Amino acid sequence: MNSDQELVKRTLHGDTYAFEELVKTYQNKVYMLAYRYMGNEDDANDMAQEAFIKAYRSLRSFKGDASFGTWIYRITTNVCLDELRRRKRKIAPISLDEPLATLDGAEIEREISDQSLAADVIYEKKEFSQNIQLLLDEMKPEHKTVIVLRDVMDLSYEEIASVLDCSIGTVKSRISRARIILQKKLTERELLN
Amino acid sequence: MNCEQMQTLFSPYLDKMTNDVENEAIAEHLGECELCAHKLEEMGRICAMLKNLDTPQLPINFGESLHNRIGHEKIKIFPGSPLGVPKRTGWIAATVAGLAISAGIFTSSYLPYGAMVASLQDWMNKDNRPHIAVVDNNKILQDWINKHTEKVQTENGDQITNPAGQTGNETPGTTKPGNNTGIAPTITKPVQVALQEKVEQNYTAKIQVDDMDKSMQDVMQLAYASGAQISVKSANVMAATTENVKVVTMQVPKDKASALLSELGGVGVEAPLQNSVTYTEAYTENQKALANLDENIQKLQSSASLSDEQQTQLQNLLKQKQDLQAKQERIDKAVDSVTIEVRLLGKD
Repeated sequence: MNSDQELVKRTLHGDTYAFEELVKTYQNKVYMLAYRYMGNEDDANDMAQEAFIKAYRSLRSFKGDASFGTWIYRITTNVCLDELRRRKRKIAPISLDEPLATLDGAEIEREISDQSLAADVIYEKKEFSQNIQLLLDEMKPEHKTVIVLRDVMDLSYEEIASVLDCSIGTVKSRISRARIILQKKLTERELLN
Repeated sequence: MNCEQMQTLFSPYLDKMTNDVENEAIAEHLGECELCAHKLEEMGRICAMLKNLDTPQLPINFGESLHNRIGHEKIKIFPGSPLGVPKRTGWIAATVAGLAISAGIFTSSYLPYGAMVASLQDWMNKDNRPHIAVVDNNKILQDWINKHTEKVQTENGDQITNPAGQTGNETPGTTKPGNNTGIAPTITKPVQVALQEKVEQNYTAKIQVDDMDKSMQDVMQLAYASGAQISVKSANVMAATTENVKVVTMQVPKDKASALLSELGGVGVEAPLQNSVTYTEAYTENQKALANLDENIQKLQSSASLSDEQQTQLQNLLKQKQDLQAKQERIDKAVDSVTIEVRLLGKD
């Protein structure tokens, strides 16, 4: 029995300190995963905490077939994707051309900032990371998920299949498709030279 | 395989998830297609950059905040500590406690609580308790031996087995199985021929015992049950032997004597139960006077003819005889108790 399973067992006997040991082991990766899904620090913080709380509540369902890491990544993924879907339903589509109404009845024109990325900041790590994050946010969740799990989190195909509860073949084709889409976006926006 | 189909293999190719056939096909295609070679190199560069994306640091209060939330969740998930299975020491302690309780119950059922209560009642009513006196053992034993010798020898020396008992309706003592002494007692009741003449009736019984205290307790219980007045005498040294002896003297109501004698047989009597009759001096004189009267009366009555003076003398003698007989009946009636001496002979 590895240390993770021992800590899980102790947690199930009411030892919260054991669970906090698990948190310390995985909190950085869970937070990074949540950040890539959510795109900002506050949401990443909330979702990472929510993922750990959900894991704590449903720890009895953890059978130990996969590693605790894979299990907490799956929870984090589901928590984040559920939240993103919930938000997508709530946000009503608006027309960018429609003028904004002010309190005094006057109308002002919307000032839309140019989201396109300048080519001179591509290789600046911070800027590139922010731009990549914007591109990831534009992608479908299924593509975004495999890019994050494979290229950001560096999980193997087997681990990704376990997290997403699908076959390795599905993972392989989904990663391939996602990378081609991402590459196309980067090329279109001239973020690669 | 055209370029678009080939480019779908670039992703697994970079992850080393393609087989040899695919690898050969890719290598062959890249040698011929410069665009696909560029695409593969670009995809590899993107993957490398994705692995090194800048990620913000975990918030400082992340652990503390989560700790507080887990604390609240614990109350919901684990509202109370589950009852654990007792450890081995717990089971052992429970077993020992159970055995101790069982042993206590078992033992308590055999404790002589009844006897304790009876003793307490006796103590509370000590004025009504039978008097128990312990006297000089040697003197008592010597007296008993002397008395025993006298009692055994009656006037005419006859001893017969009394099949009908001495007290009329009561069943005389009979043979009973022996007790722990292993001695089957034979109780024989020698009686005096002239039953009507006794004025004191005495029985003596020897009982060989293993456990002096227990046998004494048995005898005392029998005596109490018969309403006897009891005196106990102890002797450590007997005149002729070194046996440990205790003598219990009982004054038993006349109507209960026979039953008590029978029960004493159950305790275990070694020697035949001996009976003796003691005559008081007055009674003896009365007997002698009565005998003389009978003799004189017979002489007068045997004469062929009697003078008037002799007739008058005969009438007087007959009247004296009637008076003496009446006196004897009164003495007999006055005897309402029987004395029983039980001698317990210890083995050591």
